[in-house]
Amino acid sequence: MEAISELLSKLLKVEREDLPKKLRTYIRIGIAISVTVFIWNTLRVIMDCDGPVVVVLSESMEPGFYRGDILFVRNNKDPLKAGEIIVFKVKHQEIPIVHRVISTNIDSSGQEYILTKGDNNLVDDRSLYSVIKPQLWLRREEIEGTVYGYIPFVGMFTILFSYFIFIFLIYFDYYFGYFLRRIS
Amino acid sequence: MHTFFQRIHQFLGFLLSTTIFIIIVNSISGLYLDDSEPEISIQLNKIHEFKNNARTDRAVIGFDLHADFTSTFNWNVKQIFVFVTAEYQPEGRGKSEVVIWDHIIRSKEEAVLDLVDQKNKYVLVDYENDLRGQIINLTVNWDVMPLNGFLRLKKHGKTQFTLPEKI
Repeated sequence: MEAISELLSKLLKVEREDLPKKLRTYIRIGIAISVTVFIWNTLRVIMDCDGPVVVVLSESMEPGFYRGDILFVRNNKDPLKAGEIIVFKVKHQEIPIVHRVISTNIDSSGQEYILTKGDNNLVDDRSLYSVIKPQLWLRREEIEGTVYGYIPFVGMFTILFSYFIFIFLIYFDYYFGYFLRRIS
Repeated sequence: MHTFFQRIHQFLGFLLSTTIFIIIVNSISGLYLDDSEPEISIQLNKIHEFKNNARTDRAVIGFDLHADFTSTFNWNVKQIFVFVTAEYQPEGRGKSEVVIWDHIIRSKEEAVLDLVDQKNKYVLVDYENDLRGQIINLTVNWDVMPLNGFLRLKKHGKTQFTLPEKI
């Protein structure tokens, strides 16, 4: 036990007396991070979706969704309906796109072919699908899920925090530490 | 006793928990407030054009739509996205749905739609060019988009017509 605390205080470069305080801070940060990861992955499993919470980054769905709004996404196996707002990611494209379905078709083998358009755009998304070669329709496997819930503005914090991640971490630690202190 | 940082923290914490509570209550309230059916009637006015252009059959139709969405508005409604779809069932394929017209209603004052011979915004084109002689259902759909909470997609009001066999 003595040897371990000796080693730790050397590793963390603190005095032996300050070690418990320092360790508690690290444990708090660890708990905060693991809780976040746990919630995120549970949501991913329940919603059967790669990104169950999405932040809007573009103006293409205004005035419905603005930049910085948060959307909740889920995936079900039923065929899509026209008018649903979906999240899709075409091959070779980095960022997923949130747009509305304006045409659904099912061919003889049961494969779905979908066309989308942003509410604020004048034309449909065919130019967005054609990243490398011309593509007229979206296929089912390119669709990540359907938007079912909406919270405005909150996502702006994540956009801001991606710039000020350092401040975020400090506050996060303080906040969770506050909760833990209350519980214990 | 209480430092400035502690006070700020206490305030932000209270603000956060209150906001979360209000958001949750508001989302749930939206589901229960909206149970009134809006009045909707849709009818085909006339088939303006059914042409073969660039080896694809394209239809332009005119429809009459009377709808009153005033009752759908409550405190948790930001806008209503109204759209008209053409639904049809081609032989040997699944059902197709094509949006031919859409409109955004942003307030109670503009919630009454009264359209006569409205032409489609988006041309009616089939995925496998199989429109001739097809029985088409015109349906009014609307997506209630909340200030926060759940999006609700509903449909009502159907009218049927057949596209001509020959062009």
